[in-house]
Amino acid sequence: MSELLKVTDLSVHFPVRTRGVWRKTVGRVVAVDNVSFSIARGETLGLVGESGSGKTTLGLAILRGTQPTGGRVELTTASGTIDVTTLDKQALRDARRHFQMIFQDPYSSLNARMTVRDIIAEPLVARRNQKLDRKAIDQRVVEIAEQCGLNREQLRRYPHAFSGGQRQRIAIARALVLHPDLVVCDEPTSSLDVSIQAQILNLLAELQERLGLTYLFIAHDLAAMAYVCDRVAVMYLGQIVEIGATRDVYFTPRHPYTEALMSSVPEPDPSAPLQPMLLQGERPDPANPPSGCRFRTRCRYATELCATTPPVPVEIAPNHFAACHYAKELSLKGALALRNVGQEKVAE
Amino acid sequence: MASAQSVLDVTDLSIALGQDGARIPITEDVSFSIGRGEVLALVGESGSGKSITALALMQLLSRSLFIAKGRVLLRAADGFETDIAALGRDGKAIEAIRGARMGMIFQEPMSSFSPIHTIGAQIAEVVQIHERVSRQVARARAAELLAKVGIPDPKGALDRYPSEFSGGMRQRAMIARALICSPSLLIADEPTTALDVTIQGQILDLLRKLQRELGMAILFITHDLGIVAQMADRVAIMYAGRIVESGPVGEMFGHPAHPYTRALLAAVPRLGDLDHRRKIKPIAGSVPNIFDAPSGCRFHPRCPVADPARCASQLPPVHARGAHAVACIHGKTELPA
Repeated sequence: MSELLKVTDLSVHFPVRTRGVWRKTVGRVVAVDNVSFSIARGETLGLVGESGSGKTTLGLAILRGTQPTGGRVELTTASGTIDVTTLDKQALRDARRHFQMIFQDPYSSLNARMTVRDIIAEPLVARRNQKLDRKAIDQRVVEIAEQCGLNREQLRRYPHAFSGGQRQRIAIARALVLHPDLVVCDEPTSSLDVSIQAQILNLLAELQERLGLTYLFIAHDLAAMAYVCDRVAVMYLGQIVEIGATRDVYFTPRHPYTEALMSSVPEPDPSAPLQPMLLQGERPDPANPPSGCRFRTRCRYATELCATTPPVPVEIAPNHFAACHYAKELSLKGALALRNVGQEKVAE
Repeated sequence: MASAQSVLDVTDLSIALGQDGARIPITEDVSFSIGRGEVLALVGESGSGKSITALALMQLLSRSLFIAKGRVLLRAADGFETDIAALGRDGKAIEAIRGARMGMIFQEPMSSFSPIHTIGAQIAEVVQIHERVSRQVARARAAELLAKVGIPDPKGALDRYPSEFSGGMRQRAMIARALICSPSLLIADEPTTALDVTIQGQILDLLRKLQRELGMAILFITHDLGIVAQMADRVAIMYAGRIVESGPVGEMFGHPAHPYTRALLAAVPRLGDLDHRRKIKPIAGSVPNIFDAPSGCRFHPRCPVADPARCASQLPPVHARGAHAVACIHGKTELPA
């Protein structure tokens, strides 16, 4: 499989300023810290982490929705390789057709004063160097809307007439209307009901297959994530602590944080009782992260080494990386393995 | 299902919107009971009426809503008995229940605390309202409770403000405030929805520990079937303002009888799916609008096994076997023997 996206040492820092007129910079929050990974064409990479882990900022930085402080984001499309971080305003605008985003809340991401047709057509209209006539635009809008499960009739209406799930379909149609290569999905189902969440997850999978899309799927729902992702990256305080095939990361985690995360997922099965591996304390302030390994203050396995030396990611198994000094020695438990009954089920 | 053992018996509770002239029903004929020390999960999607029902149990409905019908019989541990549905929204009678015999915790801990009073003052206040004790005694009790819910340095925490607490700590403080008068029943309305998954694990663990230790009953309102499976003894599923199925947690997950319950379970992704390659099955259509609820069985437009002749025109009959009850025309054959 060819590589579509290659992210190298990407960092995003936000200044911490004092109040008042001078707004003196007194520190910085390292929201994303030297993150590197790649996504193959047609693949789905999941980005999981708790609030404040930097996963949304990372997604935005890849699209230049926020300006990265350092690093490279290379996108290889049919028309060549571009470094997204160095594009000027006009070039970025042209390049945006290759990468699009779907947001969490379809109630705030759609303009209430535009018809569904105009919302979906907007990216086509905004392209200055490739003007389409009205007929061509209409044709494309109808085509993508139907692929997203909307009918021609609904295109004349306004967003308020639609439920959350249907609004998310409109947002997906808008993201896909320009035939993008990469779609960043930022919590696309978090605000939806269970029965509707399944519709959207299945729609995204179906569209991926049909249109050859590549997804960066940001979420905190680990079960939904397992359902759609080929590989998963786990973030903690701005860094990727573990990355690998979904199955490997979920069932044979190599980072203590991943173990804690997996043990906390309540499975909808009363015979698989939850035994959360409780983390000590709370997430540290990202503006003032711990020395050495950032997770050490909550880690049950931490030693003195962890306080002094930041761990580097090591390849523990093929394509399975973890940034932990003890990744090779620790025998960590994966999702379901902590639960007696669950274990039998997995073994079946 | 009313019995002397139950803390709360809700019978035919209906909540409506607006004036008597043009009232719109929000929930209809909701009945359930909660035994002593039992955890009942009230489950539903948005707009199912689960949170409104919880608010009605405490007479906390907003002014535009009112209890149109039904009884809410509370039997507290101290022998106190009353029909809450017959009480007013204000006054001594309901105040003697709220915060004392029934406690409540909400989804958003930030908006449940006053930002300009200390945590200690807000927790001690509850004791001082309900019991004739001095400020010192109330503060000592508050510190004791804060320690019990796992807040480090509880004495110091008394003088801190809610904004100085993290989300998880605020939720712990809210639990402390709800439990300080040892209520017979705790109503928990989506208490972990706003929290991260590892913090959610901590809070669920804490609630379970406290529930066993204090022997209190919990009405757990949630949409998360994972949490239901982990926390509940019994489950009641709500859809568009009605309870469609209720029963012991093992039966509800093992042998769901209502088409909606079964569809809901089929729509949830599970971690075990990674091995089984099970496909989740969405439920067609969307949750109905309360102003335009379907006639007959509310689920019939989305139901794969609906009989259009019967389901659209009549309310489904309730079939029960033991503690497992289902409101569906197919109910009798679907219930496990």
